[in-house]
Amino acid sequence: MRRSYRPLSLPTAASALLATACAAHSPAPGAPEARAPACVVVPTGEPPEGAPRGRSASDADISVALSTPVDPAKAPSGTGASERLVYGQLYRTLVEIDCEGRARPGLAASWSHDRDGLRWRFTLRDDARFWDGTPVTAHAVARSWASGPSPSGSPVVGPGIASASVEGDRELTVLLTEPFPSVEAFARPALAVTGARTDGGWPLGTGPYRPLSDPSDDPRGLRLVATDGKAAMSFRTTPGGDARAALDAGVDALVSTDPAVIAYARALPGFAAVPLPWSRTYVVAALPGWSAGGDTSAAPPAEALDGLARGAVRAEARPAEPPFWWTTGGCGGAASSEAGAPGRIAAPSAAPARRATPPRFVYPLGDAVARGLAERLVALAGRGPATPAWLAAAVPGLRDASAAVVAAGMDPAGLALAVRRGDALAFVVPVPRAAGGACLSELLAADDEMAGAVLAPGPGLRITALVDVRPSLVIRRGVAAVTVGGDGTLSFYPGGSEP
Amino acid sequence: MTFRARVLVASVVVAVAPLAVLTLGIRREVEKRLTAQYRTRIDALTDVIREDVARRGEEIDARLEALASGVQDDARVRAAVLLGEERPEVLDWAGRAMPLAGLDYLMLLDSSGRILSSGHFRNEYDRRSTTVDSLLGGADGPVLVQARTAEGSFLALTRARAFEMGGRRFTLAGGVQVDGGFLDRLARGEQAGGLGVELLRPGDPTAAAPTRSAMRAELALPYVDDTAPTTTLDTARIVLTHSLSPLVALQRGMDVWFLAGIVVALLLAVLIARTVSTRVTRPLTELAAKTRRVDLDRLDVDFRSTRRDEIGSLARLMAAMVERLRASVAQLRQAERRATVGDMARQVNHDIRNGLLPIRNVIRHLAEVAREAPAELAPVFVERQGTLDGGITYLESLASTYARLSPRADRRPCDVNHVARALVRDMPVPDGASLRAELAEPLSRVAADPVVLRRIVENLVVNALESLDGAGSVVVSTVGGRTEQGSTITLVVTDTGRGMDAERVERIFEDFFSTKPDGTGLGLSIVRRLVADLGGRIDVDSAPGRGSRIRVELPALDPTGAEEGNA
Repeated sequence: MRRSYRPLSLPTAASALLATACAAHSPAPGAPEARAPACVVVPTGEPPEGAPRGRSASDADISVALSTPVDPAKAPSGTGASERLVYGQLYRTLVEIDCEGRARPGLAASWSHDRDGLRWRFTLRDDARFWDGTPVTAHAVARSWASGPSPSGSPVVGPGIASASVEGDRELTVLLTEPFPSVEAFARPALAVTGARTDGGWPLGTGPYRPLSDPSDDPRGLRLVATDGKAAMSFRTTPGGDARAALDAGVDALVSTDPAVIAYARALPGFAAVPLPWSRTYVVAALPGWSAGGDTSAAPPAEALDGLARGAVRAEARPAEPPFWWTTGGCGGAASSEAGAPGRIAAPSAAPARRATPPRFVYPLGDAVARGLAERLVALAGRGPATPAWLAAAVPGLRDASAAVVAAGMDPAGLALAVRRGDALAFVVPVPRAAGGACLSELLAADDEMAGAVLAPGPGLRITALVDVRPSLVIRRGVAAVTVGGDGTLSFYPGGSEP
Repeated sequence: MTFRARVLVASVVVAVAPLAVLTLGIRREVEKRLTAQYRTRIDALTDVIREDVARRGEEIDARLEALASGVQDDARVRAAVLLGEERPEVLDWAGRAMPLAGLDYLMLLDSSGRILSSGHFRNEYDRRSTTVDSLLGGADGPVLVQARTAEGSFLALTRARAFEMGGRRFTLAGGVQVDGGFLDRLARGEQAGGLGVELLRPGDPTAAAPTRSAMRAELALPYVDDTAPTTTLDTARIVLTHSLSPLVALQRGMDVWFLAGIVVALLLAVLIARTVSTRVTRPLTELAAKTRRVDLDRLDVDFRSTRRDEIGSLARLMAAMVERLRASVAQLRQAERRATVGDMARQVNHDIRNGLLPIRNVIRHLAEVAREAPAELAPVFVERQGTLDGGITYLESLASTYARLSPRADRRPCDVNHVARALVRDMPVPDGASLRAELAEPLSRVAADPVVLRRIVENLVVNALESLDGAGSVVVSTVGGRTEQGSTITLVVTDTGRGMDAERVERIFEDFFSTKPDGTGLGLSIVRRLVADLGGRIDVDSAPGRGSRIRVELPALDPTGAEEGNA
């Protein structure tokens, strides 16, 4: 169950103050912390002897396959894996959370906040630059946040920026809309610092790469070049296509959850398939109005979840492992996320007068894992008296279903409408699972187009975790080092550069 | 019922009855033949569909056999199935094999009916579908199965095949989707020709009983609903219907033409009846009217006819009868006149003799006295004078008595034009002759009895018409005038008849003088006396071959009603 954000009580505030007072000061400016070794998923190194090199134009030029096209208009907040992968190379936030949940300087060298986390102060790095070389000033940061919600259209949910005061060229004071003592709030891609849009449609970024062309113009796909000019990345889209064909065509890397692709990559000489952190937890969420009654403590038995992980999905999956931020508190209640807050999608709290017929398990269109889970739930629900008790507990509305339950895929707009109307039996959606901790997970979930819409209603929402899924990075050996951030973003370091 | 109504009814019956019989007969025959043709067609299609379904079942069975072999021959799948390892391999097998085998429904089940792999619904694995397994295995031929997918359900024509692998029994159930396209292929495009193919499952609204608009045939197929909690083998039906719309349209067209024919026949019948009845009824009616006019005083009705049919014959018979009657009446009148005149003459003779007898006796006595004793003649005359006076008085009273026999005239102001006009209007005119009036307006009136005045004009006109000998004209004219005695009214009757010579003109007003063989000779004499009674005068102007002109002059009344002059 999701916990709403609310101000801390006095004892809690006192302890939090003590804790935050100690944590209020970030690492000293100009001294970025070393990356944790666990976050280096592919270390730099020469390929094994005899292993074929990549077919890139140069050692510092790698090609990456994408499953969906990338839209510059949505930068810097991506809604899909492909966009997150690309935008992660182009834009940076003030703070970065590594895969172990530790905050690292991003564009900011240091930071502090007041007792309750309402007011934050940042000192920007001296070497923080936009692509065009202009320094990233406090003024630029304030101007970036003042342009409103992310151009992607997804609202900036959670603690919002009430105001940003420029104290100096590199000093910035930020007043939040509600107290939030966790710096993860500033690690969200939605708060990446951007400048004005360039001719190619990309907002001016601050990442280690910059785009060379519009994805729709270059037949080779999107090309990014490192700001120091020493490396380049090419992204090729194979929408709906078999990723194995992309490997056969010579790409150097791709990210996939398909076991067939991973198995094929492992069979190819020169390629490695590296499991990435568990980045998604698939849940079944019954909205308020459909979740009344039933035994809320009836969690799915382990063997049921194992069966789902091993049989229902074609991905590397495991039974969902706690803790889950919606049961443990996530960011600790320092910010409000109640229904009705700006950017939240309000959902009906009562059962709709007329329910959709037939009753549906709704899943995001195009998400094969969600579809498999939804179909498995449909199959289990169709067993009548033999329907598993945990499923009946997770979706109490099943007992009132007079017609056979079906699965239905919806695009984001349709899914949001279904949430608003409350006429779906339940939703099977992926919830971001950040390696950087529960708070970041909660923030990423709030920003996620699908998860944010489904999990918005707040009280009355019944969430049951099913499986965790993780992708694998398929990469040609020796072409680049790769690190993973706390939000699952991959960073590439081609040509022997150190991550 | 009138003659016309009888003719109309008979015409209608004669016109409509054969038409109705013909139309009904044709209609029935067409219906019988077309219905038989449709029945043959629908039965043939039923047989074809039955064979098609059986053949489809055999095809499915052959594919299942191949798939079963494939499972057994594929080491990886075989190991996965038997050893329970690599579960995704098993779970995905049916989904991969189904499209390759050209199937829409495929399940691999173990001996307990548990689904190991499902191609149409991948994630329904581990569900027990024992009913499907047992029913499919026991049924002959293909079975319709209501199958379940994640998005809904669909109907499939299925077969099942069991096979042994690793000492264990497995079942493959597979089939093809039954949708509109499947039914269309079964029907082989016959729908364009009015044939419809429909699949009815148990619980579907029962198709309507055969009506006049469609013919039906049914083909039963075993049916199982695998989506229901409990399933039993039931029966679905492929219902073939053949639209009878062409037949209905044909019959409707025939009905329209039949009604049109009826309407035309009725119109013709009415027309014929009207024409026939008119041609028969009218002449008879006219004949009856003429016959009605025949009277002893009116025998001038013309029954002449040029028709050659029975009516013409009847008319000519009537004319001959009237002619004989006319002759008989003339003879009778003449005889009556003679008898009347004879009786009158005898009576007058008798009365006069009776009156003259005493006078003769006295005169004889006086003559005798005068001869024998003339001196006593005077005293004898005086003595016998009373007898003479008595006799004379008797004769005078006798004359007065006979004068009273004639009707007393009712004299009042009369319009001569009115009398003449009415007479000209009512007087029957022989064929070839004409009668007209040329009357002066205004015209003063005369003091006369209207009956007398009419008698005068009528006698003059009748004589004029009788003088024409067939062709000719008679004109009745009036004119006002003035003499020394005062105003007069002159009535002139002019004819273009045979005319009279001078001798006849002199004698025409004499009693009993007639120029006609059957004439009484009293007409004009009576006219003369009547004119004299009115104070008028009459004269004649005639010449042989030039016709005659009779002129009657009467004194006219002044506007106050007094006579202005005396004739």
